[in-house]
Amino acid sequence: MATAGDVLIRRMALGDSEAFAQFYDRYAALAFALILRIVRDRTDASEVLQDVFWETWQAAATYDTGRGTPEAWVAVRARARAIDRVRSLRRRSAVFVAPADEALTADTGSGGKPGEGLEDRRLVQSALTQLSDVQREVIELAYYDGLTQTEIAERTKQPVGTVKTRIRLGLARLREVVRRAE
Amino acid sequence: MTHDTYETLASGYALGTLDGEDLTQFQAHLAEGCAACTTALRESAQTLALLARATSPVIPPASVKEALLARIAAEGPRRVEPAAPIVRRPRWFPWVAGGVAASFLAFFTGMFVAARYEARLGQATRQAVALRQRVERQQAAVYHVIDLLREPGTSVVRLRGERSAPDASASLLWNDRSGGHLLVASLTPLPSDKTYELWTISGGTARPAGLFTVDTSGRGGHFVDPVPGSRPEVFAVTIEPAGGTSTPTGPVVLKGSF
Repeated sequence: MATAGDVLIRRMALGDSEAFAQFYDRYAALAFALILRIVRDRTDASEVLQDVFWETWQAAATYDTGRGTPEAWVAVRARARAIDRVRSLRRRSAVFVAPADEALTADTGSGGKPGEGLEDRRLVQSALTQLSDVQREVIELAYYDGLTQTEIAERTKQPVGTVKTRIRLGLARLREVVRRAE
Repeated sequence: MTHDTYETLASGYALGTLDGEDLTQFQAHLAEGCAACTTALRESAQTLALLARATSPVIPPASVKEALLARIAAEGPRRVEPAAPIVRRPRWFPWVAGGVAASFLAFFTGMFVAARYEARLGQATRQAVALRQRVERQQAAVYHVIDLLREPGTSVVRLRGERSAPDASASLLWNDRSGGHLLVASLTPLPSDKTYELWTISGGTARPAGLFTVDTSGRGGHFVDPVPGSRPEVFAVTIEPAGGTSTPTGPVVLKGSF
């Protein structure tokens, strides 16, 4: 029987490196995909991944099951660190825009056990397709590119007020689709 | 400003898009403890966590895991060292360094003070780290117990002292899915070449379930992994040589069943 993720985190808090290895094996591919999608460079993404999991090792004692699943715990950190990285790169070079490299994130049987998480992936993907194009655009610019509302407004050439409304409606729609599917 | 405006801001906050005035305004609103916005944020965070799955998993380079495990190994075990008492040292007053003495004397005094100061700083840091680790360990144990209590199907097994330790007592929270947590109320502290070992027994076979020690007051706690297959019938604790054994050899001090 596989040990539940929250149990692994508890053991990590006590300094159990074997539990950490299992925890890493379980969540690294998910986190790496997300980080890669945001930072787009494999070397950068590997560094961010290492920072993220080092953080989970350090912060294991503060994990609270009441506040979310282990997966969400990792995903939130992965996204935050990846966006930090992108923002610092952007600061270093104002004109730098990473090329979208579909090959990096394409599903080439590169990770995870077959079928695992596939249901959820389909659910989330289909939830995203149920947003209007403009809603999906703002959500993706925010979630994967880490842009602020002002930056999104500049990028999409829309007033900030419109961006804020699209974010609200898009997120509400997404929540609703996911909730209905559960 | 109506609350509807805050609801719009809450979505942006969850996604991390707020900036400038909007961000400060919403943070102030949250700081007032708005329950509706707190709930909305939690819900949004859960939905957004799912977005992580929209992308197919990608296996990271093996070097990342190796580097992490090496870093953990280099960090050394997370052991709680008993805090060393602070050694009182004579105070060094600034006039010693700055005074009448020749400049080389001042220089060496300065070096000496700095070295002393650094040593004390190092000691204080070690104590702070040890204290933090102890608190984190306790916190992890408390959370584990709470998690077990929260889960359906958790039972409490009383372990009673056997003939060799009639005053010993402990309770074990057990959940077939996620394992258990042993809470020792009273056991004699052991010398360093011995350890307590917990066993799960089913079908007449004893399986090792981890080593633990107790503090000077005879209390202790121990995380227990779930057991594959059927639920254990009996839990027992024996005294074994340090490092533990794969089958029980020492005297049984505690025993209990459902």
